Amino acid sequence: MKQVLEKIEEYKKQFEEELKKVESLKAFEELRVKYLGRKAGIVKSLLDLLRTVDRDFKPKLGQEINKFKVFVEQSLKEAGETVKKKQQELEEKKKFFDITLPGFKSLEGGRHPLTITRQLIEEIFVSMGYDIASGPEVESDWYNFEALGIPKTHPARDTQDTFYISEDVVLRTHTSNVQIHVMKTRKPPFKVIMPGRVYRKDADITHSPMFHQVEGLVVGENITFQDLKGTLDTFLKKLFGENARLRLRPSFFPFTEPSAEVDVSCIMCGGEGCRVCKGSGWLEILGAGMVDPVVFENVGYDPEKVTGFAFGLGVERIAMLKYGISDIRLFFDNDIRFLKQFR
Amino acid sequence: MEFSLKWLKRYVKTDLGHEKIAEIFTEQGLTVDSIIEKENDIIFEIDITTNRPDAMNYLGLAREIAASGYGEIVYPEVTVEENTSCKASDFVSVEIEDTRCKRYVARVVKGVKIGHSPDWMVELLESVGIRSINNVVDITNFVLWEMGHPLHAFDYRFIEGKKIIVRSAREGEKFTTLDGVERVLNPSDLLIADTKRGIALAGIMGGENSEIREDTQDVVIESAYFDPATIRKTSKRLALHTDSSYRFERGADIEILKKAADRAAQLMVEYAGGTLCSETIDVYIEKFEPVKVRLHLEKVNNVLGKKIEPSFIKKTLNNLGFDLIDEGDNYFDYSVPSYRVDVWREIDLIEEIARMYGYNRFDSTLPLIVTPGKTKTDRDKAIEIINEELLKAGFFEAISYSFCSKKDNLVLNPAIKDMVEISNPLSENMSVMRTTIFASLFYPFSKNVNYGNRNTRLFEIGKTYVKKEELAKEEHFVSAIAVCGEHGKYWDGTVQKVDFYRLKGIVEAIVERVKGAKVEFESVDWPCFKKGHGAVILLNGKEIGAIGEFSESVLRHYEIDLPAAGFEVSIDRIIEGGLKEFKYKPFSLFPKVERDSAFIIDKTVKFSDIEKVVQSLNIPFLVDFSLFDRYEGKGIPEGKVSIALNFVFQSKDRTLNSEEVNQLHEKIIKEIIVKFGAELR
Ligand SMILES: [Zn+2]
Repeated sequence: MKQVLEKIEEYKKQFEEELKKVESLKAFEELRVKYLGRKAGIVKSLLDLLRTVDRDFKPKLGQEINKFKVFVEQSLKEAGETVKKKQQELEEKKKFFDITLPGFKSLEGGRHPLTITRQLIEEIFVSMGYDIASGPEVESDWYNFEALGIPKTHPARDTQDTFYISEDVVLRTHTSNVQIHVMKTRKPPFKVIMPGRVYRKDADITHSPMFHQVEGLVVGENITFQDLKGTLDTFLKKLFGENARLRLRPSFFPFTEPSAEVDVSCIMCGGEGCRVCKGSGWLEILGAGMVDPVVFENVGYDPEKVTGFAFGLGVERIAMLKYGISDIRLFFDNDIRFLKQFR
Repeated sequence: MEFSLKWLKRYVKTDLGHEKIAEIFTEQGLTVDSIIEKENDIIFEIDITTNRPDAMNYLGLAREIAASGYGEIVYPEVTVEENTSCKASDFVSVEIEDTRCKRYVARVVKGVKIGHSPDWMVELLESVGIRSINNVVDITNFVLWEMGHPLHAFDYRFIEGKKIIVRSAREGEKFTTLDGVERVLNPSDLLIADTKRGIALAGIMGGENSEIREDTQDVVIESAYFDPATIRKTSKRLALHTDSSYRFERGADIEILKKAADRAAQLMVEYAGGTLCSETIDVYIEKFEPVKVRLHLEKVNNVLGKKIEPSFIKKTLNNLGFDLIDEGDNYFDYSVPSYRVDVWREIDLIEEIARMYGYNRFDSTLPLIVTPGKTKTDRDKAIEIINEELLKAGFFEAISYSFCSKKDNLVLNPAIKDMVEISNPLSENMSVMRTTIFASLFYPFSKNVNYGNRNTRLFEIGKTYVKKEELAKEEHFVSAIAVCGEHGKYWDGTVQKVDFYRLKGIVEAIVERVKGAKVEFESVDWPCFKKGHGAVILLNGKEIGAIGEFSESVLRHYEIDLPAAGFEVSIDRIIEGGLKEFKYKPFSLFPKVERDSAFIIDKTVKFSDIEKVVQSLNIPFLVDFSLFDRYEGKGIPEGKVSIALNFVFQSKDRTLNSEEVNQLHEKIIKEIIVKFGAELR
């Protein structure tokens, strides 16, 4: 009898210990079966034990067992609520979906800033009704120079340090050679731009031995200098914004007459004067002019019947201004830390 | 070119401040790049275009200001006092043997005393960076900057035989210019000589043998006109550029020669104490005829687009020195002054009118011609797709130089030896045009890898250049290079890999989308690719490019320590014969039935052979089959590989039953087992 009572006391302690540890509904159910299971529960085993003890002790012992049973039932009932709540919380946790985890990006890639700039320029002119033409980069001296009114002895050749392939073949120093190809293969009227790679023997922070130009050519009856001005004005406003102002300075190019150097009001300071525009408020942006009659004669057009204008601009120059780049070599280093800024 | 305001003001009366003067210059085409304020002077840095030698001196600039209407030109008074007791012809005679010298004027000043120039002259010369040497030499420089004509002064003692002969140099003739350098000449050079030897390199620099010295007493002043192309050629060949050659090669004023010589003589008398001998020697072999130009008023308006008042035209051209010699109802006839070598046609006069009118006073209009804008060409469309595919795969577009070294071309493209070679390259690495984009694209690729980007992926769309007769065949290619390996890892463990097969997939997708055709790959052993890892790409049996993992020799050449693969495909060859056209085909509304089977097979069995065998069976209803797993290693015998194939069956007009599909599937399995000794897994 004493033994059994001690055992009950032991079970009670054990039950309290075990109850404390119960977290899940599953563990709770296991604990219930362990103590109250009808077939092999501890309470059942105690009741089985009751049969073996002396009759005199039975009532007392029965009472104790019952007390224990009630205690277990009571405790479980109380604990059940808590465990259920805990279980619900757990279920909620398990369902949690963290929308803040990083998304899976595809591998990074992107277009070159010069391509982006060139396309920007092309789009503006195409929207104004221009066609796009191209021509060879390895070019005969005639197309690159002579046809444009630049004979071998012309001082203008000094300003364009030329890469020679042979005495009569050069890497084109400008896209103006395409003007000649276009005029020799088309009949006016037309409006064309001619983008492409050009080469000059020059290399420093603002000069690259290879760079890009976009040439423009409009030929027809009654094309005027004011048309040239209006065209460039429209283009520069579309490129740099409605506030951009235009300034033309008389200049000299062998293949245009009159010729003009075209400035745009500084896009950094709006014309107030800053480091970029060297205090002048103006940025030199392109060269232009009315097609020189000698060029028309060279391609078999009658300068008395048609007039036209031409212009040429540097893609790097515009990209450098638009993106705030001060070293032209960055374009050709193709460092991905640079390229990825334009994706 | 630098000009001093102080010096300029000697020849122009104006109330304008220096900023307004700079503005007028710029507006008239003489761009003032900067204004430097000095203690007691202001320096203009003016960019004078090559066609305007007339403006490269103070009188020329004064003329521009006067023409603007804001000032009045003040010519220096040129008066000479001749001493009739001596005659120039007693000292020297001039003979023009080579007609590239059109005129030669000489004056003799006797008994000069070499010494310092007056302070005012030294100051003016120094303000524009010319070092004072002595009074006689300074005076020739002063006249050059004042009137624009280069002069030379000889020490009379050293003119042998009392004779100046203008002749072409002899082949190999040696001549020491006054900078002490011995030059080797040839007949394309024009030489001023005496009866024995050269004494000056015409229009460029005097000779050491006849220069003015401390004890010079008698001076011969040369004022001549030389053919611009000749001076330019010699000056360029000898890399000898002087203030004198700069002007002669752009065109000097042949009519000012006498005046310039007189001016120098006048100053020598005044500041070097000399006596001017009577007689001006003037050999003028081809008298200057002024150019006459007819200006049609209608043409002015047609070209400029704005009606310019005839009175404005008249006033402006007159101010610039053009002579109105005749006029009609709708035209003016002008005679062009000798100093305006840039004006000889009507259009040149129109430019003069426009620049003096002010470019910025013209209106903005747009051309009235109607032209259709550009529509995309096949190449444009192909490039768009190529871009999409490469950007999708995570490639960055690069723009590399069109040139490279010969070795670069040969390492990557040994088959092509006809390179376009640059005869004056900047460096060996830029000495030929690339015959493959790889050759130059590897430079930025290597740079990126070496600074530590182990996931470099670059592509370029551009041309290659192969010599073709005198010029080049320029062909458009797309080229891509990537490091082989893991390029990224997601936090769920998925790995982003780039390797041969991913590049191959890009090529397949490009051609499929551009052309609607399948490309074939044929293994090649090219030295640029790792053995067995390279292939040519064929479209309808024609080679359009190549793909592969690069060989050690390529990687070593470009100093790359990671495996890399790449492809290059000709855009021009893909688009030949037109692009893919979309055409709708009705799709089946009946269910697909799929079957998978895995085989263990010899590793050397080519997948393309399995494809061919399956296709050759012509299995009805088989609409697709693909490889969805390939495995070797644990559990698979060495030399073998496990492949898992997926077969899709579908009918256009009914639902297939399981039984018939099984039969078809069986047939394929059997064939693969028989043909390749495969084992079903
Ligand atoms: Zn600014």
